[in-house]
Amino acid sequence: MPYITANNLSIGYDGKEIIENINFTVNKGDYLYIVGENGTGKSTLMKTLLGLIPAIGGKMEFSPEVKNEIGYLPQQTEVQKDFPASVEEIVLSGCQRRMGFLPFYTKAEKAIAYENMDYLHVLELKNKCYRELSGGQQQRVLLARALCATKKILLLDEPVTGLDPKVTIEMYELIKRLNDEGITIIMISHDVKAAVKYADHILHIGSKLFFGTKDEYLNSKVGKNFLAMEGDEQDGNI
Amino acid sequence: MEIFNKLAYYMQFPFVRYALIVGVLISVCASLLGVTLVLKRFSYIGDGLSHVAFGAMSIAGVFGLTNDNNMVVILPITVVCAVFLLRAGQNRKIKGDAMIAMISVGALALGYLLMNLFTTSSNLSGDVCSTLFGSTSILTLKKGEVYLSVVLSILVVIFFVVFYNKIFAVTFDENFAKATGTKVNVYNTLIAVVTAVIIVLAMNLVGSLLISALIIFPTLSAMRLFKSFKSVTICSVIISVFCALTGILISILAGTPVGSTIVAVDAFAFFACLIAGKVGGRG
Amino acid sequence: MKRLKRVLIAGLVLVLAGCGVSHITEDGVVQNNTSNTSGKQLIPDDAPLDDPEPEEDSYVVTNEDGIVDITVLSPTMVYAQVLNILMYPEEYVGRTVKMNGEFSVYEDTANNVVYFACIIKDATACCAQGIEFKLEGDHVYPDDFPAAGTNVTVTGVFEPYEENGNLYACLVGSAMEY
Repeated sequence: MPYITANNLSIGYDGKEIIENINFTVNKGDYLYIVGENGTGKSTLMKTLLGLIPAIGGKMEFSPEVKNEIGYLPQQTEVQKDFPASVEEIVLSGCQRRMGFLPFYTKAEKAIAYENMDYLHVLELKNKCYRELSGGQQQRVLLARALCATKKILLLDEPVTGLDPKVTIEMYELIKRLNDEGITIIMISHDVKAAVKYADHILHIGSKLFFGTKDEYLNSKVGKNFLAMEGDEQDGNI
Repeated sequence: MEIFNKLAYYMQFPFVRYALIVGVLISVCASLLGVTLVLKRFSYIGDGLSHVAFGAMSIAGVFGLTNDNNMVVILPITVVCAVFLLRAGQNRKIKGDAMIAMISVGALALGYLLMNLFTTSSNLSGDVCSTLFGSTSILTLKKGEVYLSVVLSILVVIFFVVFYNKIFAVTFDENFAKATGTKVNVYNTLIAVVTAVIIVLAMNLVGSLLISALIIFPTLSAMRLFKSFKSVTICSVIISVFCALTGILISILAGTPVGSTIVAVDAFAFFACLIAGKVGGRG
Repeated sequence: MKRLKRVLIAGLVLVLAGCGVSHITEDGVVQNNTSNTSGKQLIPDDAPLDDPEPEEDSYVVTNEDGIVDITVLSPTMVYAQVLNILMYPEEYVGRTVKMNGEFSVYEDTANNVVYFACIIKDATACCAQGIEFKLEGDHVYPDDFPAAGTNVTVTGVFEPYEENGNLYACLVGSAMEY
């Protein structure tokens, strides 16, 4: 059974619908990019998938494997950028779900946290204050946190916003590596070139809806138009 | 030295000892709550909720409830307001600070209006003044009130310790916590209820001005010096207790109002921490 | 305590039943049958007089002479101490109290009684408390008394009394200096 199935899903907020008739499936191991013009509702869709906002209509189905094991890398808030917390505290908080009602983290959970920090090369930063880290380091810390919550599926909301080009590429490669190791990835990005490079499926949201494999997207009218538009913007010609 | 002699003499007074005990206990509770409230950007909630409690007190007075049993009205109203303010979090139309301001000022005005219309007190502004500033409330506590503070503080500390990691998760990143299955609404509600209870009871003990300061200042001071959530929390409690003790002692020696003196010491401590933090290379 | 506050604050103007002090008529002993309405220094109902609760540590702090000397305290402590006396009158019955404050007079012309009190304000000066006093011996008002508002030191024995079902604070047998 696919990890996630969306059937005629309509999303919005405050009861107001912004997009309707969204259909897509996500299978184990997929790498799905959600693209579209700015402000079209990509974040809203992600929040709806995560249960942060109720769906306005339609159906979302989750396979039992992932029902309670979804990792999330949200966009950072201003509050967080200035928060007094050590890297270790933040990554450990990803283990919350495993804890249940127990008040304190067990050795096992700490081990998971350390393992993830190590994997993302932030273990040496574990006692440093979050607000003293660079943008890229902060994102890796949040990614480590997300990995503590899941080994199955990760939802990332614009993970490279504000990062400089070199760090951006590192981030993409890191995420690709995670996908290669079996973690399903759903990523929101306005960076269509990256989408085309890394994704195997693309969901385009906006004035037109499209869901399909990358190749199908590249051959579709929607895809071609968008690529042309975004490509121009990204190359500096508008 | 003369000051020590005077202090030793004053310590003989039971109401001085009670003031010190309750001051310490309330400052522990307030600073623990303060860490999460300040970081959630709800710093002004202490002031806001104490004004709500003031308004509720006036309403209780309209119905003829005296000071011994108006808790029946004050506590529920304040708890409801606290839950309303703190639960909705970031996803609302009128943002947190505007909401608090509206409710705070509205409640204060309504309370004063009601007191004007319905009360027979001959010194209305004195009433209001003493509720808001409570300059000697802490020095006129009965033994029962001391026991109440002890029980309350133990409960708050236990609450904070048991739910420490959840409170952290909910304070640092509500969305992530919710997405990964933490019952964020439950914890926000719990925090709101505990906050309301502390503020209402502490307001009766130390005045409304003071309780707001006790929530805000120690956390902000601690944040200048430390960088992990745990160390900020512990430092905040230590600073809070130290300032409360020092403030009470200074005020009874120098004859200054207790509430304002404690706040002044807290403010001074903040500047000291600010400078220390910058000198220590954190700024 | 809050009820106390309300009552005390309501009695900003402290008007107290006097006895034997006024010489407006003959020397009269005007005990307990003067009608007075506003601002007497009431002791709240929940402060027991006949039934003192024995406390391990005494509420009363006295100096070497056994006097509860409020004059040596800082202003904050003065106010707190006076409130304490009014909240726990049973602890102070029979104690000699020395206090310093503003002299205040209330003339109840309807009954030809004059009341005297010593008033102190709290640190923010928004509230005031005070205790009535009755002087020892014969004194004529206004001749033997200072102007209202003068700073006076009153030493007397704390003897609260009942009138019209209410308890009032009073220092009897007082001496006054100004």
